[in-house]
Amino acid sequence: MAKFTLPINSRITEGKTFKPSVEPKNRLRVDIYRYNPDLNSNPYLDTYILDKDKFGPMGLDVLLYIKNNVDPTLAFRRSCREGICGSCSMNINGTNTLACILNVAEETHLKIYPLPHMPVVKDLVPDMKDFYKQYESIKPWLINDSKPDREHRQSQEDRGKLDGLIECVLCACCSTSCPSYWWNSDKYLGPATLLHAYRWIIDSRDTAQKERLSELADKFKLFRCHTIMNCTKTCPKNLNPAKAISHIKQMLASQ
Amino acid sequence: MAIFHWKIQRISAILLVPITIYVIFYLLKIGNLSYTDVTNDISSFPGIILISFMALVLFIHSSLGIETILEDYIHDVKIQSLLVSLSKFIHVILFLITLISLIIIKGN
Ligand code: SF4
Ligand code: SF4
Ligand code: FES
Repeated sequence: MAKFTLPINSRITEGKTFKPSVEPKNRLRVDIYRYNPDLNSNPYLDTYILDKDKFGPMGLDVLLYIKNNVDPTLAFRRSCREGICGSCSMNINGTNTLACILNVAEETHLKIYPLPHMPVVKDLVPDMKDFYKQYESIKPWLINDSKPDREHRQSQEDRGKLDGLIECVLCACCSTSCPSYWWNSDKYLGPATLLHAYRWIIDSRDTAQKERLSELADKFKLFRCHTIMNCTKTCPKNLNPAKAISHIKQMLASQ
Repeated sequence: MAIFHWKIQRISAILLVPITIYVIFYLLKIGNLSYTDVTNDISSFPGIILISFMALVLFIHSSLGIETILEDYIHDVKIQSLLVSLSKFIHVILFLITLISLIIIKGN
């Protein structure tokens, strides 16, 4: 059954407030979701009052400043700090995004939560195990038994069909913004995985298009997508998973 | 099956658009018609065809829609399939009631 309220042990309680001794001129208030599995307590919301002159303009700059200077216990994932590794996905001011490519210079109040509807490992670190399993299930590699002497060749036009798909960094912002994925993430593959499925379906070098399509012809794996379009709205790389999904549906319908 | 479900849902939705518009226009002028005018319209040959067709499309669309909602929100597989069967049964009954009503109006 879909749940409309949080279980008691997931309700967010009030946390600590970290304030500098002098009130900063360029003030930024940051509320961050905290959860520590070792504490055996509910998640809580910590508040940090910061001086914007002390760090760079991006969301990740704020988090790194807090971790390095205010509160070293804060946990979050990051690596590339340029929107390419997909690690720093989280929910900032109500929208899933990559912290490292979100400009927050004009903000005065940030609310930072982990990706919605995911099990939380610690603070802003969600458990991505099932998400990666779903990705693996669509066989995200080239299936082609022929062994050419050199590379598998592709015309420029066919290569162009992959634009807007291969830029995906698997950050899961889209899947975790999708209400349908919230209700049925155990059975519905979600927009990120489906975008990748489409990427292999339309690759001219791949020989398993039929099998890939018939794998997806399932009322849960694919057809839980109800074209709500949250995925496209939120994608920090400006991709369009909803369009890829509707192309898969059209290909199946016209078979 | 999933593809069939998806297709029929869309086709029935498109079919419902002109039918609904026609019915709205009919309802707008119904104030000027007498009781017998209306029962005559309903029991005329085109009236019977239109209403049975509309009921068929409407109940198919509604049944598929409710099935989707139940699959979305009811996680327990047993309860889910029970409710889906119940919903299908109710939709068949509603369609039969429509047909029986048509026969009664025609008979009067
Ligand atoms: S489609 Fe966009 S939001 Fe979804 S995983 Fe890829 S980059 Fe992230
Ligand atoms: S279009 Fe909507 S339902 Fe489909 S994957 Fe995107 S957010 Fe989810
Ligand atoms: S740190 Fe790599 S995407 Fe943000």
